[in-house]
Amino acid sequence: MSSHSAAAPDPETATPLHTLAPELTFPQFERSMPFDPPEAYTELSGRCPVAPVRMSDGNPSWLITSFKGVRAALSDPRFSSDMSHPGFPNRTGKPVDDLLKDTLGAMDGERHRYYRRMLTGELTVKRAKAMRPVITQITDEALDQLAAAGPGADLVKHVAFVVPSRVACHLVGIPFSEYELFTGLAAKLMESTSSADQVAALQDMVSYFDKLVTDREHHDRDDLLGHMVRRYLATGELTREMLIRLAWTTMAAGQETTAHMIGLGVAALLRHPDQLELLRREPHLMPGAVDELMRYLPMIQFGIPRVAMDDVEVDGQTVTAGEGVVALPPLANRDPAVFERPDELDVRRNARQHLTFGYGPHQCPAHALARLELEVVYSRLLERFPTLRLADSDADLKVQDKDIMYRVSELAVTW
Amino acid sequence: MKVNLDRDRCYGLGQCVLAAPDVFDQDDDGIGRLLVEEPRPEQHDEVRQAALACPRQAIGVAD
Ligand code: HEM
Ligand code: HEM
Ligand code: SF4
Repeated sequence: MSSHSAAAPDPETATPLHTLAPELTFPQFERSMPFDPPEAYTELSGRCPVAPVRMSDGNPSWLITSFKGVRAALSDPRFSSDMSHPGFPNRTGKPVDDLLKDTLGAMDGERHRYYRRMLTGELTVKRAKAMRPVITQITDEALDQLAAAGPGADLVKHVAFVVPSRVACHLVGIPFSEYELFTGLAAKLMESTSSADQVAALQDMVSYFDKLVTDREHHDRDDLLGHMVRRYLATGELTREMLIRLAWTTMAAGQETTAHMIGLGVAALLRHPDQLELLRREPHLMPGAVDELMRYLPMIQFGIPRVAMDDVEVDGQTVTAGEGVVALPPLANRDPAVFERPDELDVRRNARQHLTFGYGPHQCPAHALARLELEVVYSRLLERFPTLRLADSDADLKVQDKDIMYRVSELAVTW
Repeated sequence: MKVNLDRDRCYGLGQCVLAAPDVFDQDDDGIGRLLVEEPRPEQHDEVRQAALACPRQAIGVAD
């Protein structure tokens, strides 16, 4: 037995999920405060950290809301990321996306480890740090655009949606001159409504990356594609098809998440003037503030799904083989057993253990890069616009609360 | 204090490097590497943080 946190199941707690009455339907949307998770979860979390729920497609699943439970489930190899498994929770009510078949996020065990290691070398803390000057330059250019648009400009449009995709382009090796070509391909892929459209859009994306790979077969380039071509394609450890899949899914996984953290994070700081003031006076607090904002903001609102391949006990509840679980970071991040005054935004606290990057073998491989991007964007923004504030401080925030990720859809600022 | 890092468990997540940059590093594949096995007393706190943060529970600490 390894040092794993999950214990052997206790037959006493083993009640098959489908025999239990669901505590609520997942997801919930009703909330009274823009930066808090829906109250129905908070109430449930207090009395039942691993609770039976009904997913929007009608199937049952377990909802995990405690810090301990989320860590146990996401780090236990008996839980699978195979989204084609019939017990895998479906969070959107739509059929499983063929696009995501056999991507890193859907693999398990040795196969996952094999491909994952090729990516981690590209995303070490050292490599992220080396990107600081590029990230700063990209950020400053976006802030120029914001300034040029004048007071009242939308920070989401000019900054949040620009910086992460430009940084991802730089990392992977998409020339800035082809940035719009790439975002066009990505938009077509995401907006495709029929499977025929989707197949065509995916084919276009793959052909585009194929050209980039061919270029690296003839020229040494110092980017993710160049490194992977030399280290793994040339040796036969990676097929061309898999290399392309790893590259474009990395691009896809890194953009919306970081973009939404920029929008939400700035909104939260502008709505907490005491915290903002503290950061202006003590800029060295910013790296810690990034983790605290990631802890506090309920972005991953549809949670992280898995399916049990064996009977597993999670925080006192037995999950039976074949049953699905949804780990909910926004609730685990406010677990009072781990974080004091969990509903308070406090940039001085040590929040590094938050679960917004997930946990275990699938934990976001780009966390160091993402943290640095957020640090640079928040810091440069406060330096450049010392009087930054919401354009209309009395209006409700414009949020998108029905999508897989909770976010501000627009953030008009003035200075 | 003595630290060990199980490179077979390690998934190269770098949480340890962020928590205790003078004690942990990552090799070219991202796999964790110890810079020192017996950290100085003022580093002990960081090392405990690193062990706690490691999502693979690959870091062992013996006092
Ligand atoms: C290895 C593959 C991928 C991983 C690990 C990944 C990971 C994530 C994560 C963690 C989120 C946050 C929300 C959540 O699911 O809990 C997300 C959202 C999203 N992903 Fe992915 N993703 C991957 C591939 C893709 C691909 C291939 C696409 C596009 C076709 C895509 C499009 C999106 C979109 C559009 C959202 C945001 C949805 C919204 O805000 O409405 N992702 N992804
Ligand atoms: C604040 C920004 C980000 C957040 C909150 C975030 C969150 C996450 C989470 C929760 C997962 C785990 C999903 C699971 O366990 O199934 C994940 C996986 C992943 N993320 Fe991120 N991410 C962010 C930024 C990025 C960036 C910038 C990149 C790339 C440049 C990236 C690339 C990936 C990839 C490739 C995976 C799949 C890893 C695997 O399945 O092994 N992410 N991310
Ligand atoms: S935090 Fe753990 S998994 Fe990550 S590099 Fe360090 S030892 Fe390896």
